[in-house]
Amino acid sequence: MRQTWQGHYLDGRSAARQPVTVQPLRGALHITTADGRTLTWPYTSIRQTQGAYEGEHVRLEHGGEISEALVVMDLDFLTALHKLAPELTTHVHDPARRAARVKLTALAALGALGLAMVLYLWGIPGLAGIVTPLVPVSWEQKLGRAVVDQLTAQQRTCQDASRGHILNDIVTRLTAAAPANPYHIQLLVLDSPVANALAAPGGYIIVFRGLLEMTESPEQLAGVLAHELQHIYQRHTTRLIIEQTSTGLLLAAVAGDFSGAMTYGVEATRAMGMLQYSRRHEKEADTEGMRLLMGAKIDPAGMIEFFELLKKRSPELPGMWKYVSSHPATEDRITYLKQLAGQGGAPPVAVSSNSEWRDIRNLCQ
Amino acid sequence: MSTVPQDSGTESPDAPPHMHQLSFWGTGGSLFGIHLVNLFLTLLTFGIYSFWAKVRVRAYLWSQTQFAADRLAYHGTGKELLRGFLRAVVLFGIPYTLLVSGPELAGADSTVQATAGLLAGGLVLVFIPVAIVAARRYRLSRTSWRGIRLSFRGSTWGFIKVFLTGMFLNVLTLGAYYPFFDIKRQAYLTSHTYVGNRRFHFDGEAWGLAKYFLWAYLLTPFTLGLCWFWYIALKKRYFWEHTTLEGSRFHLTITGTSLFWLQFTNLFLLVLTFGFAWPWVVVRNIDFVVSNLTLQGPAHLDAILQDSQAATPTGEGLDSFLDTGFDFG
Repeated sequence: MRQTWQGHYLDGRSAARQPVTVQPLRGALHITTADGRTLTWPYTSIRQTQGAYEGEHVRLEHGGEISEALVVMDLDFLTALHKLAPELTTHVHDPARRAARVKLTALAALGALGLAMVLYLWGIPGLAGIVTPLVPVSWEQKLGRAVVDQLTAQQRTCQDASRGHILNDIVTRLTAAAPANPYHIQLLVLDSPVANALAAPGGYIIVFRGLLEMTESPEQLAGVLAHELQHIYQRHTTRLIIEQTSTGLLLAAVAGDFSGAMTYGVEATRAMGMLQYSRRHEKEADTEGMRLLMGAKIDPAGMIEFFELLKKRSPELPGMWKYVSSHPATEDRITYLKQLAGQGGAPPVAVSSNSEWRDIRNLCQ
Repeated sequence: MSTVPQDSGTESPDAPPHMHQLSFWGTGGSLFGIHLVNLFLTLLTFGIYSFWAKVRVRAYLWSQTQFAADRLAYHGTGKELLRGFLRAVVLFGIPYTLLVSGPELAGADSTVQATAGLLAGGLVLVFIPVAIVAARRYRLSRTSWRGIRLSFRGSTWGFIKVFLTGMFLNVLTLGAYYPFFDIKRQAYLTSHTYVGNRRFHFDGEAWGLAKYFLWAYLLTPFTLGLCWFWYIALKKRYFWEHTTLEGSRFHLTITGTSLFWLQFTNLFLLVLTFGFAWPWVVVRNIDFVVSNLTLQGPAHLDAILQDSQAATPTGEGLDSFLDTGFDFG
């Protein structure tokens, strides 16, 4: 076996490279310079800083903050060290183990994928679950107020004390059936042909005229209101903000820093991820809303009828498209709502007559 | 990525006696492997490992950069980066967040909110030069060549002045001052950089650059902005051509066309692979500058002596926070 190697020595005081001869001994490296000086470096006191990758020279360092260095070109030098003093050189790279590195890296990649899935599916929603109750209701109300202000600045609200009381009756029945909560619910009807309703955090529910006109019975509107109420009670907006922030932080940590380095693929993934969280919240609003409805003794058939109306109005694109939607597919919603309603409950008490309801639909005129 | 056979440690006997070529030996594949392991460990530790991950990447990239028969070495630690990050959060992150969100949450009126917003903007404006200098100081002090540490010895306050007056004049002249600002900034950063006890010098003048800046500005609508690749390559060449060490001068041989082609293919790669080609892009970008960089002249490199300087790593954390990048070619 080869006894000596050629290398270069850097003494840490000047940039001059001194050619040296290196001889590995049982417990230390024996280094001899051209002018005959010798150095002895015990194996335990040397650090290897380069030489683990293809094409790198072996660089060993010795000393404190400003260290001496030894550079040897030949990788066999490392193999010789391991053969000579295996127990003292465990901290030095072994070229024989390079093949294993690819396998370990592949394992790490799989591990990373697994961890990412776990964090995404349970870790982040779990974190949101812990942090959300800590957010003060007053913050939510401020945010909700800002949303309402912006919407009412663009459209007028429909107010009619004589007819509007039926809407408030529905809200009262629903809120009475809900467990104790700090929210004061306010219902607003906006004069807009859009067929939609939304819940702003802190207790505001906004119903657009278009949706009101679409409903055929008070029970149908009650279904929508129950769904929106649950968005408020379950604090979905706050939850989503926390989920969005933590997903962003996680992706930033993964990409290495806050720079946009990997945002090419990462933003698309994040958007898809947020949509999935959104679909979860929508499903929760559906199921808890249905429970609230039944608890308030309002006929659950109304909620299901409304979704059937939705389905007729806007037929959905099939298959994969549901992954880019913020709501679950309407067909799926109808299915699980029917299941819940079928579990029975107290017999429903009517809200108002259908003729009264046709009148309410024209609230905005 | 270079396919030249591995350097034996001595310069080729045919090369001119006073020319030192820089080279980069890193590969996208190795860097990708490092990134994968980093990703796994970062996720496992809920992000704490990201500081050590950065050190691993830098140690690899530095050790693949070769100059005058020796490779650069990186001596930073994850702990230093973590401390720097925490310091940046305390000195900048928290005051900034308080100024931006505090008045609104406390229900203060709009004048208070506006003042706080202005103060926050002022804070950012001051911290950008602070971060640039501190990051440079830290990174250089943790970089060594032939065992000799590099250092940055310019004062933070000096650079803040250069930066803020430059920004102010930029706004005042609607951007016409920019090449002058660029030169002043580069002059300050380069001329206070040392390798061991030897100083780098910068002898560029703004007028040399301003003429081309004007051309690029005028040609923008005709070339749909592509002339800026030409200007940026020219600027990089100019900066290196006017950087000297030990009586020798650097030379960079990149062109606007090659720069454009590099960025274009990088973008293409990234989009095609949903960002997974990032390690290859990093390697290509470094290789592009390093392999075209040489030092020409009778530099007595062997005579450079060690002259150590400590550095606090605050700027490091701030730098990544503000995404100002590392100013090195």
